[in-house]
Amino acid sequence: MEAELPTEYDVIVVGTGLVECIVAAASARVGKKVLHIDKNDYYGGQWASFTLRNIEQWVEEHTASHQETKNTEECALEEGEKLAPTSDPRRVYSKVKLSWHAQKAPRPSINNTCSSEDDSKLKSCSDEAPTASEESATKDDSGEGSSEETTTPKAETKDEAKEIKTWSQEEMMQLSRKFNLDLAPKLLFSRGALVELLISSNVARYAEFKCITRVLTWLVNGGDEGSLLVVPCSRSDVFTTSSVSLVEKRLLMKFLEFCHSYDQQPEQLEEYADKPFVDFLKSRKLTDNITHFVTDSIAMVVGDVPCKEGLERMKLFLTSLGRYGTTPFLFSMYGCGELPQAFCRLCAVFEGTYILRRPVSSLIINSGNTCLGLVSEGQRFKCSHLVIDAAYAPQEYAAIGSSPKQPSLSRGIFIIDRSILPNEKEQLTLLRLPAKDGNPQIVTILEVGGGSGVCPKDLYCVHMTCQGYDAEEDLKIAVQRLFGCGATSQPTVLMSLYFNLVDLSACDLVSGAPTNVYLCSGPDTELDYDFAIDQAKNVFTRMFPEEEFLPRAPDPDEIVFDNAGAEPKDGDNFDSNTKMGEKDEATVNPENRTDEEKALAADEVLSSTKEGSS
Amino acid sequence: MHGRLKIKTTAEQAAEKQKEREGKRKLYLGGVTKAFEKRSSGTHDEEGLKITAQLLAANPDAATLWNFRREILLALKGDDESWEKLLTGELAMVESCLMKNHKSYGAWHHRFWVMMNFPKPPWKAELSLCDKYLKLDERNFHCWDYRRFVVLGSNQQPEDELKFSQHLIEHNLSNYSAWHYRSKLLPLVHPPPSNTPHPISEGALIKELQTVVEAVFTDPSDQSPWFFLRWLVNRQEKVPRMLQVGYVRYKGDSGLVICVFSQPVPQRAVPFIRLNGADSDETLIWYAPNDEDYSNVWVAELNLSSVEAHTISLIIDPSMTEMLNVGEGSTQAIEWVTTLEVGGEELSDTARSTLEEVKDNCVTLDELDPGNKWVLLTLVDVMWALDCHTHQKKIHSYLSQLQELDVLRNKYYADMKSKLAMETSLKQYRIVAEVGSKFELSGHSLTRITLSHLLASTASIDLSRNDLTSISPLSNLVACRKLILDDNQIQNLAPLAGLKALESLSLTHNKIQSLEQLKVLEGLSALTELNVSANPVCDLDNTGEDIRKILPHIKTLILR
Repeated sequence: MEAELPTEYDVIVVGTGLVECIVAAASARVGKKVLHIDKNDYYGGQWASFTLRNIEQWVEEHTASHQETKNTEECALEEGEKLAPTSDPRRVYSKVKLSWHAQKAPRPSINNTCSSEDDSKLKSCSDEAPTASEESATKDDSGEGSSEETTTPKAETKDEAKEIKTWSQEEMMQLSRKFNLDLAPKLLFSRGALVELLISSNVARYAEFKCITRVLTWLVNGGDEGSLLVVPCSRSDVFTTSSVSLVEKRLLMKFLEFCHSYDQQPEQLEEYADKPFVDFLKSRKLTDNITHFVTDSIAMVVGDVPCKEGLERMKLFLTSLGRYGTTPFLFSMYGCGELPQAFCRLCAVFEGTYILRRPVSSLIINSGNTCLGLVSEGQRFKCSHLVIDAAYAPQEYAAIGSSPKQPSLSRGIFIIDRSILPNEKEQLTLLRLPAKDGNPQIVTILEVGGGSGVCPKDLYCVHMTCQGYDAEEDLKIAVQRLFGCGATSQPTVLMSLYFNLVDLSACDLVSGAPTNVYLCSGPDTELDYDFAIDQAKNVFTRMFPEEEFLPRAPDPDEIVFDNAGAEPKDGDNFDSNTKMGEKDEATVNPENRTDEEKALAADEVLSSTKEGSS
Repeated sequence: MHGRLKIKTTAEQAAEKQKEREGKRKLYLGGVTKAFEKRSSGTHDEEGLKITAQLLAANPDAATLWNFRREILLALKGDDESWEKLLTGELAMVESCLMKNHKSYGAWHHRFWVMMNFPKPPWKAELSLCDKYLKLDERNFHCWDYRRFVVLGSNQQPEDELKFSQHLIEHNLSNYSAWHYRSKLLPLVHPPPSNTPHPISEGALIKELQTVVEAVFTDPSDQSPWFFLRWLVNRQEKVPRMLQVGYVRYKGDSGLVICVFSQPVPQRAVPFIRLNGADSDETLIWYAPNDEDYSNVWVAELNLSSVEAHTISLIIDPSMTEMLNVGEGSTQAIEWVTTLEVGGEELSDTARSTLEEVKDNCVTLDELDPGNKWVLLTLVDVMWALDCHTHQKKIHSYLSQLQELDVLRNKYYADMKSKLAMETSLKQYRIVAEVGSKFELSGHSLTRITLSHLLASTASIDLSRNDLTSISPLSNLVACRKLILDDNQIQNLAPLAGLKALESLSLTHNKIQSLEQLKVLEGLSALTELNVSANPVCDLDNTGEDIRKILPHIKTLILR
């Protein structure tokens, strides 16, 4: 197959990060010939999601010495051409540190893995002798209860309804594939740029989403340490919450209603146009309590931003509310790494060529400083446009480690044994810790559980993101607040991973590179994907100013397959449901099937899981 | 490798759809013909079930097919076990129809039928089916009906249903059905003591008010919680009380026994009255002045010449007998044995403070959101319930605001104002006035007369300078001798036709057009004074003579 691989393309995309994938899909969609290439054996680059085993591998790769012996490949160059060697993309990461806090192996006396539903391997063992192992499991359970009472103080105050399982590293590794740990966890605003793009381009059929079910905040009352509270953001939240008074309920609702359509009442704003947001809140007689909810959790700004910006953010939040669920946010099922892949699928449907595990050693530049293509494994590929992950790009195009200090993200990933604020149902939680009361940085925290396909049932995965240069130090207060020092009600951290990542989103990625080389930055600090979408759109229009950006892709029933001569059979079925038609197509073309089954239009998925938890 | 893509044009798609639809239509019609053939030949077999299942899955609203299906099922009914199996299949079949149309009458009806035929109905599963469909459409009344049926069958406790409604409301406070359901369940779970006018017990009332007030503070523009709130503060007297009983003479020995009740009651509710001295238990013939089956006022003719002693005794219940003096000394005697209470029972302290709190909250809400109709309306309700007299001015101003805000219901609020004026002045009147004295409420822009039964014993009534068009409630003024209705918009005098005690009637500046309209007064033999000046009827020729002709009892007739 490789021998037949064409060597000339309209666009070559290097790296499978989100921005690159969107550009690749958009290019293929309008009929451009696309080669998409990545040195990794996985999709997503800095946007990937990993199983537990893979993240260990990733950590290993990123903690090993960066000095890769670069074997500059031989390649016949014509006159005036020169090679610009690519960089090692690992250069954006630093201070990667993974620690296991769970015990290594399950306690020998307890054979409780047999009762774990998730472990298929062990389940088969219990299938062989179901009665015996079940009996032993129950016996063990009761034994555990009595022994724990005497040994660990935890057992005394344990939740009566649900006993917290004690996990070991071994057990977790056995369930490695149940994990989808995000390098770059982000949320979609239900009316944000990405959702609109997914719908308008019909890429939504390749992705599934869960609604974030609650927004939490850390509220410090008077001199106390503070505690977690649910932020009342929807009407039903405001109605049921007990954290605001009766009059505050009205004030808050009134303010939310105003923000929803603030731009239609400009006269109410004139006075505050350039004044801080917080002054405007005061003019609306909002109490301190509500001001906290509004600025920190709904607008997600600091109080002194200009009023207009605050209101814009409020509006984005509020217009997204209620479209799919009771909060404005969606989370990509099975991790955010699914999103780049969804765009890759579209690209592949429109005949984009994919090669993974294929390093790119250099770009070929001619005397007029135009990129002619690239060299990979000694082979030369030509292209008119080259799109490349900035981390991969030659150092002279996107310098890293230069002074002044480049902005950087501090990330923390934690696997914990119960929710930071347990509820009857599994919740998907967003929490934003403002930079006050001792916390140095604004920390965005996301807690997702087994229901979102990112970890085994009953475990939770907590993502922390903030600006900073030393993840472990920057997230110290946040970790202390949420996981404490082993207080009985707080979750136990089973695994933690810290790393830092250079944030290139604000860098000038244009002027350093040849005009037909387009650099794509990795994830930024923002919660949503708007920046990535903007960047992708920008790259695409620079390449093809005349072309439409991701027009709607056809549904399967609009596509005529070469071998699809047969009419769908009516049989005894009177039902005119369109889904039936889709299934017919899927059987005609079995290759499509897995995609078909997975791919439900976003609206369908969301209507069936309206609350994200049904 | 993916095949080369070719995208269908919309015309191609439309043609395809058309063809598909045509095919389906043919299949459907073929199926219907076959089903009807089977039915007319009385064939009840498995195939019939299969055909109707397919047809109904495509069109769950075909009632005839459902009927046929039930006929087949009954014909195929075997022992309990097989019957249960058959019916279980029916439930699944109905659900597939519901997925197609969750508001199909036929499908829901069939489900009722299946459940009623089940030897051991699977109630629990049905309850979760209701949960599912009410989640899909929270106001699906078919499903609400079905849920009530299932709740009854499954012996689901009202407490659990109350929790269910709570859950729905917390999810969406606009769910009117859930609030309503709550108002039906609460009296079952928290019944009020029999002697209180509240819809539920005081403890529950306070709790419910707290919740609903939070709802209205969250979204005061949503009417669902307001309806519930108004239901909570609304006090309903459960047992009608007898307010008065009396006797009025209107001419010589002729007179009327009058009974007044706090609510309209049927004739059978009138207590037994024995005429003392009369040897026989002469029965009184009761009638309602307004000729309705239910009335606040019941009267009976009683000629004193038939009563030897001048007392009659009244047996209200076996333990209570009241004596009523109708003696000669009082020619126009009315003696009332019971005193009158206008406002109903007094509020308990808890109820009062709860209502006060609701009032204060609404006042706060009105400050935060001026001009909200529901806030004002509830304030009117609550203040009225607390004390319409002290709050009269406030209530009046809220009603004026409402008239401006809610123009479409302008007249309704005008009627409320009339009621307010009537009720407050009646209260005042009852406090200060002697029995049988004068009641005056002129110049209050009354559009409507309410509580007229409380004036059944009043001898002189002045309702001049108002906006009255209809005076039908005045039929209750059976003891009235002098009635002033000047400066109104009255045309129809028929309600006055039964006021046998009436001696003087003033109707200046009204809209009486013809002699026929006056003719209804001909049976009033006591009526001797009539003032009809400034009415269109006066402009006719010979009006005076004509009036005297049709109303010969009139001694003083004023036309100008």
